[in-house]
Amino acid sequence: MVKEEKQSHPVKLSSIRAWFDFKRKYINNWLFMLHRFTGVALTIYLILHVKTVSLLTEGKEIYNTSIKEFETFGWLIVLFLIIIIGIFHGLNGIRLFLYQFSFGVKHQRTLSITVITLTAIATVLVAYILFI
Amino acid sequence: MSKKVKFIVFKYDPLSEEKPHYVSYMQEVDRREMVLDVLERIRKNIDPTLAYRHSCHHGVCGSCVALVNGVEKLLCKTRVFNVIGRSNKVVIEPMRNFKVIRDLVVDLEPFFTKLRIITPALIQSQVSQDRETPQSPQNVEAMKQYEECIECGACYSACPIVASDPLYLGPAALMVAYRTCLDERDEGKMERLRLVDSEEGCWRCHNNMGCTEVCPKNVDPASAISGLRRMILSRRLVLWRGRFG
Repeated sequence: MVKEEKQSHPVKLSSIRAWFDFKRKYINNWLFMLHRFTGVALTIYLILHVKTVSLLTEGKEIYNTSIKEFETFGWLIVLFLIIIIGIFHGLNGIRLFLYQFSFGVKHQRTLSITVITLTAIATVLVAYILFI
Repeated sequence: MSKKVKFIVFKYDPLSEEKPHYVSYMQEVDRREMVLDVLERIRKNIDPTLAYRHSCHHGVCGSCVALVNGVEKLLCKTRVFNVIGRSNKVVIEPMRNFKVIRDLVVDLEPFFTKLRIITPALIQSQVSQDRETPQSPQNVEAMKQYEECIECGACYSACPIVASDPLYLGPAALMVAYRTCLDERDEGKMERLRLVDSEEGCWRCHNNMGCTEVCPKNVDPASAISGLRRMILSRRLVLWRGRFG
């Protein structure tokens, strides 16, 4: 056996663009890229959410005034997108969790299509609840 | 039936050129011709400097893998008519995640170094010289799929994680580790599992599944990586039970 050598982790940030290669036209690559995009979007949302909620510490009136700024149709669309992104990220996360522990790898295509189908159904349902 | 097809080929000589460039060749292609056949014709009749690897022409040696319209393919087994689509063009580039030596020829050394780390051969403390080491038919069947690997490097090229983490063992090496761990005659299972149970081993895989998608032999390295994780978790569970159970 070759001796294992401990090395510092050399992840090259410049190479992370290789993760987003649109020439790889297979379903799992689309999900792989979307999972990263949605992860970043959810992180940004979480930061904004915490920042907004933290206004409560400055008093009820300041919070109520700032929260009113979000009561527009534009923000409703943003909310809709965040919910869809959250649902997709969660469902895809479950799929990845299953793979991580070796469940369903032989049926990976079916599982990927299931994630997309469930997200599509959720999109219609959330749109119905929010807009109709 | 034949068609005029535009071949756009990656050209780069790092010793004399600063940047790579692409050269186009119009070729009349028969419906039975493979991409490698056309490359050979270009090299023979138009551009004798064009460099690419090839050997068996039957999809066995794994020498001729390159990107055909962005996807890893064995050039000798890829029919031109199957990849041209509506655009009638074929873009041929060297594999990703490897250093280009010249044109379509890449340096496979990092790939084979990682395979060597895994020790891809059978490990046995006592090898009998006068009789065979028996293996059950069930065990042969379990390993069969993974024995098909021709070590072409397509999975290594398709893996986006290899691109960002040069120390990651990669799909082929992990698949070989799983194959040898499955072998009931092998005695190096624990050592191999210890080796792949690391940041740069099977836990680095992010389930892009590119390896499985592009494998020309349908080996499915992604399932092998999952298998390794299962083995590691089972082993840990046994250790945990031993400690607390």
